Amino acid sequence: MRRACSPLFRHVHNSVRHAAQRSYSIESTEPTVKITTLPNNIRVATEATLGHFSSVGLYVDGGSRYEWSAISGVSHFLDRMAFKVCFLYDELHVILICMYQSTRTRTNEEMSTAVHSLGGQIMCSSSRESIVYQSSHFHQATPLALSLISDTVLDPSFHPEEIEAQRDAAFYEVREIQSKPDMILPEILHYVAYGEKGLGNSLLCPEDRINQIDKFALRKGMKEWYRPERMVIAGAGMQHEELVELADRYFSSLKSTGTTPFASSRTITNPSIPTHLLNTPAPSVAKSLARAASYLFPKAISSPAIPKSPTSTYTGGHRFVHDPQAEFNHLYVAYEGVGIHDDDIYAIAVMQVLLGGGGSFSAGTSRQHTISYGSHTLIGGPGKGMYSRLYTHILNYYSQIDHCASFHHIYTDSSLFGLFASFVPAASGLKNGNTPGQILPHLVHQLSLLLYTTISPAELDRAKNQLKSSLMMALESRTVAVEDLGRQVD
Amino acid sequence: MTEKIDQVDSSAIHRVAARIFGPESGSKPTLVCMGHEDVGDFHEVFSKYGLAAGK
Repeated sequence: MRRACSPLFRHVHNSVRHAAQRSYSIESTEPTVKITTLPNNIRVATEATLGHFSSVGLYVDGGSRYEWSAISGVSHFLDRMAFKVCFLYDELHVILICMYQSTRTRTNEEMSTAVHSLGGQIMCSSSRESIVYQSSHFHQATPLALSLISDTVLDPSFHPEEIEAQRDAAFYEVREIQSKPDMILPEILHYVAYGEKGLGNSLLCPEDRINQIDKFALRKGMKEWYRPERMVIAGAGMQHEELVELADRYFSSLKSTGTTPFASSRTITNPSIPTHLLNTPAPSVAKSLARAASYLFPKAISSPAIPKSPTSTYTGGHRFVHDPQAEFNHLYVAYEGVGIHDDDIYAIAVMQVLLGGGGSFSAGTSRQHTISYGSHTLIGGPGKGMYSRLYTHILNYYSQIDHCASFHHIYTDSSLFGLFASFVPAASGLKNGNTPGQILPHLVHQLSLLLYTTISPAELDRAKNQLKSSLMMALESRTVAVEDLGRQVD
Repeated sequence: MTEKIDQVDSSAIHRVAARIFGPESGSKPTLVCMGHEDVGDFHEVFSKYGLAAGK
């Protein structure tokens, strides 16, 4: 019973009593964010939160957007090779082979042992605008986690056999994804919308580039992106000073290449909005929202395709991919939205929730895919928007439409907002037809309603509440909260 | 963040919709079609519904 009188318990106990006396006045529980800039310009941010676990991550302004011809496909390889198991396959099976990336200080086996002894989860993922190395673990493993991240980022060995194994895996992965319209179409959409560079670059290594990726290409990409000015280290569940010290220990060898180094420390109460989460509810969306800023390119660099500051190359356009064997026809319609820092992003996010949508047969789950994770995330249960417009106006009316949903991919300086439908091509005699030309008006009509009709307060409130609630729920994950913090610091 | 979401009202939706795909916005749509047949003259459909057709 003595243990029950820990300060925390007393605090809770008192709060309850006080709350009863003061008719539910709630004390501020706003977490405090502290940010320190190391001498080499890496920013270290922590959020003070209680709990049994710690999360720490390194956020780099890199990714497919910043690739040019010589390093095209590099972020895909860096993502898949970090820490983890490469998989190989034969014709029937995917055979998992435990192969950990070796570094100059750790062999494959040592890396494997270290990752296992971490007792948590460590991963890397790349998106169009960022590369993230992140770990969740018990408190005491934070130094090991940072040491593993530092090793992987600063000292990978890139043995030929590791690269060869990853090439096999990449061929397999690229073919798999190309056979799945719901995964490849967003890539094609970006390509048509933004052209052959910047945001138009695929998250996947182009097939003809896979055999070109070698350690020189990988190091070239890393040299460009893995600079302290482009890095943020963020954590939750540890003292700010502890993380600053660890970051300094493991990353001070990295020298600043940019503007004059400075050291500073600041504290933010009321941390700003987790804007990257606006793209609810898929985690894939969250990933696509890294922030990059114009300071990223302080000096002219030897990579002609990279702009000094990211500027959208949106052109729009039209592409038809003929596939006479396809089970469904797919139609995507998109417009360029606004960048993450534009306040109109909130209205677009509300529009996206208002349109909502999903699958016609989905009673409880809607499949969200994330190419960067290479996996599917199931988002199930109530609360996914059965009363959103694309359900009530489209899916409930036209049985030929199998899937219809809105999307919003948000970037630093641009976003892609739109909707898509997948529908059965062969069936006949269905209401209003089932050719792409007959389905398009249904989609266009939904956008038109947003322009020309008044939205009822009840419907608007439902969309806004749904947006807020999915943001709140996402932030309950410590991993998401840390990722959010890491991406927001600039 | 929640305050900014709360501030979105019907007129904000109209204004932002007009900004990104209204007929005066000068925006260009992106269309991707995959399957058995293409979509046909989409510019006409966009114009008919009062959206930026990019033409």
